[in-house]
Amino acid sequence: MPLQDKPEKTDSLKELTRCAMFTAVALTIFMIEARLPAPMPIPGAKLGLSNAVTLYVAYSMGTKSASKVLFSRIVLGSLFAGQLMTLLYSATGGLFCLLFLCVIRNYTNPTQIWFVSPCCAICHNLGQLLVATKVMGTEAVFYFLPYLVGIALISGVFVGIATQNLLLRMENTKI
Amino acid sequence: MSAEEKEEKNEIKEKKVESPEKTSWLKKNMLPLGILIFIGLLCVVGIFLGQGEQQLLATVTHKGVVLLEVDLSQVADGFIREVGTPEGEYNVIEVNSGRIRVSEATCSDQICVLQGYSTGDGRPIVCLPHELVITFEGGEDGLDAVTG
Repeated sequence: MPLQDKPEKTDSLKELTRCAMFTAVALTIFMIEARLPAPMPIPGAKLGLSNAVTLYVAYSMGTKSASKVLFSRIVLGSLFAGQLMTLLYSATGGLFCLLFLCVIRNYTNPTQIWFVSPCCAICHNLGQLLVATKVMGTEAVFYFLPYLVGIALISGVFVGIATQNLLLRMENTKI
Repeated sequence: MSAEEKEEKNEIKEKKVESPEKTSWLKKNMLPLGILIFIGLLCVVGIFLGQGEQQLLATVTHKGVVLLEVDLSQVADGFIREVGTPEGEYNVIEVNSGRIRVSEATCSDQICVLQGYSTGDGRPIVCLPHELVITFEGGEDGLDAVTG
């Protein structure tokens, strides 16, 4: 019996280690991106490079692990960046993004991440703007929606292609 | 000879296999590509729709509380208003005749400052970290007051 227990334990341990490692990678990318000057004076606009890691985990380990990595990264990221207000925006955006990812993952294959990624980014923007309307008490923030979606399309496709390449290259490694 | 011929045949076969793959990528991904292009077009339409008529009644809202309402068309001398929290975080709002901006802020991204002047053409000024927003409403009353 103890012998049968062992592989399960090592599996969960391996999963935990991989999740921790990918969270560290995502957090590093997130912090470097936060240091970069804003590309455009549009509130909430971001390149979202760290989402490449989330997408990679979602397609290689499943959406459950991806949600763990995503939310650890969001909480730690907003703590390190020192802006607790951004936690609310990114957490809701992340939630919208993950719900969409859970659905669309069953209908796409890993060669279509270039399409999944911008769609997730748009879901993230919608969630973000909904929170912003609640917090600000005005719908005026939706003025920025077309700009945000435009940026999401471009950076999303880029992040998606990066994730596809990552998946291809990581197939041969034992991580 | 026969080996070379075989190699040539193999090469031709490989080429034949490669080319339909490349053409069929577009066919296979027609739907997702179409969706993305459609969303892109919607964005362009949305950006044009966002450029509304002149609305010069500016409202400054901080954490859901309206702090300042000013008709930009009736501002003769510019003035400065500081909006802050007890923690020492603040935004400095500069009001001039016909335009308004955030001239200084302690937020991390400085996006509210980078947005520059808004002349009431539909574009609000937003500072997400400080929950500050400057919105515009119909300035018809103001215009009437000036003309009449």
